[in-house]
Amino acid sequence: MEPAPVASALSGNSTPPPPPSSFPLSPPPPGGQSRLVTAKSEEVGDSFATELFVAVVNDCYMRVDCWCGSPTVYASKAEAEVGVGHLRFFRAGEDLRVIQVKDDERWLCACGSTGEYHPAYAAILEGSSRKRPAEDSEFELIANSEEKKSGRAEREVLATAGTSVPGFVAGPAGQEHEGSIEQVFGTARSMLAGVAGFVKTMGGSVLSLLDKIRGAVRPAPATEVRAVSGANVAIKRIKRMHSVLANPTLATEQLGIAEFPYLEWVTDVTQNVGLEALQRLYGGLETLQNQLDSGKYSGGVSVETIKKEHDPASGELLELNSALAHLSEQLYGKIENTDSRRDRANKFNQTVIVFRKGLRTAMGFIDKVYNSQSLDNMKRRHPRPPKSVCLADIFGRCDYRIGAEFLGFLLTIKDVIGLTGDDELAITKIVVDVNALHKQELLPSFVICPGLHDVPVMPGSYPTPFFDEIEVGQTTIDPVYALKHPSPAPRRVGTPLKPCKPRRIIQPKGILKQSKPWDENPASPKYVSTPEKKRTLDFLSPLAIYSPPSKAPVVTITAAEAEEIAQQEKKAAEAAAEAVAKQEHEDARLAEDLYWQSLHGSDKHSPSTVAMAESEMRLRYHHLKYGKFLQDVALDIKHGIEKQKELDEHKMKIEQARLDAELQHHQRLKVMSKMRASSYNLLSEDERRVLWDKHLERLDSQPHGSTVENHEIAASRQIDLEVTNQIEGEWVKSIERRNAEEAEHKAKEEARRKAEEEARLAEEKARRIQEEARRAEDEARRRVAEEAAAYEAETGLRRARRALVTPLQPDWDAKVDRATSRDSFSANLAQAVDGSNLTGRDMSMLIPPTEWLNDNVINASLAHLARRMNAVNDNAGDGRDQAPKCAALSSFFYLRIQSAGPNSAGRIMRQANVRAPFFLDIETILVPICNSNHWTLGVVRPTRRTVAHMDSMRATGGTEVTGMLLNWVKATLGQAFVESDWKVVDYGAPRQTNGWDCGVFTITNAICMAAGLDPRHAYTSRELSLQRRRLAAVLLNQGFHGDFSLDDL
Amino acid sequence: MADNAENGSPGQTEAPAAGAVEHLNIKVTDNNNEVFFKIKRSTKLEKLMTAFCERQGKTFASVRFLFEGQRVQPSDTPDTLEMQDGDTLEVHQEQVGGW
Repeated sequence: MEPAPVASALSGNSTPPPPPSSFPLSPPPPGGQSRLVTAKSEEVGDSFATELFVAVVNDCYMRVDCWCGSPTVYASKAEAEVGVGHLRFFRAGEDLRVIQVKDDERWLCACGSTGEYHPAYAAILEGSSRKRPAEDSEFELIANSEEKKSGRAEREVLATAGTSVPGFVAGPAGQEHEGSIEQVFGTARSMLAGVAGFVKTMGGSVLSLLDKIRGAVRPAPATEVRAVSGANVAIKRIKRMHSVLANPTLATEQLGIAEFPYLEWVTDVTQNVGLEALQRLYGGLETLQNQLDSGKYSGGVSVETIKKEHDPASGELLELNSALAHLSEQLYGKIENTDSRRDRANKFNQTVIVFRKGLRTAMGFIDKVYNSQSLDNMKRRHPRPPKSVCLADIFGRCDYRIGAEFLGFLLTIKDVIGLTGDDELAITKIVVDVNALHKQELLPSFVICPGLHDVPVMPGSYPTPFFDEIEVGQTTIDPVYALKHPSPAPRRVGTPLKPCKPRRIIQPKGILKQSKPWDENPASPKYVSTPEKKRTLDFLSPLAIYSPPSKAPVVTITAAEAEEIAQQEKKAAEAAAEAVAKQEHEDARLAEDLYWQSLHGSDKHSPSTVAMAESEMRLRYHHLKYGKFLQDVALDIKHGIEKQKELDEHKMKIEQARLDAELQHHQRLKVMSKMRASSYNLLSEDERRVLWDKHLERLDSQPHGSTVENHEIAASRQIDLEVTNQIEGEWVKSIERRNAEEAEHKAKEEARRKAEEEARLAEEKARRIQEEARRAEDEARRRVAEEAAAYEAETGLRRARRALVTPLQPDWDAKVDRATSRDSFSANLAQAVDGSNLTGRDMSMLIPPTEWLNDNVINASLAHLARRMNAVNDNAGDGRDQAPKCAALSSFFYLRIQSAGPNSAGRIMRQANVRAPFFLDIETILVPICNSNHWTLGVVRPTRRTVAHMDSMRATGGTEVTGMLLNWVKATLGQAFVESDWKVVDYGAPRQTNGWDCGVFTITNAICMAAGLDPRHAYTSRELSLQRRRLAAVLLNQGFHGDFSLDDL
Repeated sequence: MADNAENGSPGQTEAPAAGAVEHLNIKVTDNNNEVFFKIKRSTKLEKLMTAFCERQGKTFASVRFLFEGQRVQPSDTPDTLEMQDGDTLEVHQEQVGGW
């Protein structure tokens, strides 16, 4: 059970075979290439870092919800220093070393783990013994050591069932022994650790597997490993956890394994790889094994020498010898002539062992897996292909991995042992099957996807017909939010949120002795540090106001579905309309009848009566007859039985009367029928029609009173009349035509005049508007000029002649970009006026748009500014004995006068050449202030006797700052200070709208103040991202000269 | 000197040498810890500063050494700063500001 040698052989690692892994996880070799974990060899020093590394990896691994991998191992110390993380591992030659960076509070675990350990590990970690559970492989070692102690090499493992399962040895139930619960769980844990650790190295999902195993593991019969030493027998009794694999259905349910709906079991298990290829491959492997077993092989210094010295007569296989030499080379590197004989022999023996094991397991895999019996077993357990194969079905997968790796090794030496292309394909497919076993998936060889040309489909991939294709334009998606809130939700505007910096998640455990925490409330007020303050921001989290809708009001339908729904609705509407129309028709007929009845009374000749008589048995009649009755019934039920009775009586009376009338009518009819045989009422329908026709004929035959003469006279009169009418019409028409022409002419004339008038008016109006606009413009210009003049008169600041913040030249852009690169992080990029260096670290706090500026950047910028201003002022340089035009004090100046009084800053003032004798001749003194992580600028202008505090967050600066500065001025000037001369002014500079630009505001305001510019119009807050890059370029340029000259402002 | 028992520094003396011209004692304090260094007048203060940072586990780039409010450069020596015996270097944290 030692996979490491082959593993390192395949990954090309030339380290010697590592000792047995002592823990589920061990650090990777310094190269970090191999995914397989191997322990560090003993001669490599600095075991502390290695142990720490192991501890970190194990810690992450044992947590329930941590998905972090191994910590980054940097290539060198320099790289580690600019890296991230509280602990940074790096390689120093062959050693693994670690540094702890206290400033960096990012812990190695970045996945937001809750820090809970998996129950199994929590039990271990909390256990009183503090001993880790034994590994599977170690039971053997324990037993061996016991044997050595007892001097006997006799040992037996009492396990009769399922012995082919490494790690899952289940003894028969009859052998169960009494054992403490603790013992049982200890063993289970070790098994979990072994399996999980192994899976983790294979890149599988540890968590899912852990959960699965947790559900699947049950206490089971024990296996007894015992060494027989004389009369004493039992030495080690091991209770094993036994998975529920004996009952695969249960396992399937518990593990939540679903089936693939579209996969079918294959009929022939060798179909995928190919029977011939398998047989050929197996035969080849068998030949190699026979050769190995018969001992017909020999080692050599190198492949070349083996080829040269090969003697066919010896019966040795050249292929076998070459393969052995290749494997040895991959395992231990080239054998040198300087190696000792013994060393060489050892290496060769090891190589043969590895080779033999690989050969055996590869053959075993082919033998067991491509066997119809294994497929039948699988079919018996799962009627349909499952999505995941339970552990019962993947016995010996550790072994098979070795076999697969051996096959992979054979691929690398395919020329030596003469593999054909078919063989290579077969080996590749076998390796794919092994991989599937590792992932607890179905072997691709076991399944086919019917209907897809019988192409086997890998579990986990989906064949194309299982996807519906919907065109982009046919899908409609309504955003939930828009449905719930048709209008934009009101937003409370508070202080803008500072972009969150990475926070540590787990308290770092220092490996060095911890320094004392920074005292936030120092006892002595003398040294005021800049403590980290906890601030609360006034904003309302969008998460707090948004509550998700209880029912998602979004339905996604395709266009086809929509059309179908629309058609259904249309049909329903049509049916309803039809019903309404029918009803209306019926009502109309009813109304007609009623109308007729109202006109003629209940005439027995009316069409209604006739139709009724005809359709006595029809529903309509019943409706007419019983409709009222039904209404009455409803009414009666409503009004009660008394009314019912009353109505009944009334009805009975009416009925009686009606019956009487009817009786009389019938009697009369009888009399009439006797009197008139041709009574209309008694005729059939045809007879009635004949009667009607006769009546009409009679009407037509009556004379109208006109003769032929009358006709002629009428015709001549008609002609006369028509002629007269025609003449009259012509005359009238001609008059009308003339009138119309005149009217048209008049209208045209009128329209022309009107248009001319309108054009004139429009022109006049346009001229007037233009005039007004010009006047307004003049007025505005005049007002602006007046305002600027007033501002200048008050503050001495003028408008800038050009924009302050202009885009950078491309070459400067490139330089600025280089300054933020990772390589230049700790490099000195520029020198400040006072000789200090600006590093890439400082630049990285200036250039990215949302970073906070530090004091180095502020001080260097202001110093450059002051030097430039004084150079313009005095070409002789910074004369120490005369007043500078502009002086920039350090950012620690304000801190100093705040903590130690206004007279304590002499050293800083001397550095900036601010001296009492010519203090009042200095134009501008710039005082950068950092207070509670906020940069502001104090400005003292002695020539104008003004003091100002420019705070980009507040409209007018704080009075405490101006007060402090006035105190300082007073202390500096002494007798020369005239309090009434001095006043506090506000320059109205642009305001900050975000949470990171105050430093840039401070520097830009300082530029305006030094150059005497009106800050209100020199720049806007939107330009400050660009201004950051400009400032970086100025710092790289080491001053405001060349491309960044301030002369033309 | 009574309270520096826990700050055993390699470059530190047990007691200030009275009237020493060549050497002077410099106190470095971050308002929380005090470390005393005995150095030559011509020694660059960089040595002292890095020693303090290593001792306190601070990164050199994130602290500022001030002498009477003035920033001390690594290349400065007690001579250039005209320091006296028993003078104090204050250690402040880097000033950072944004909002």
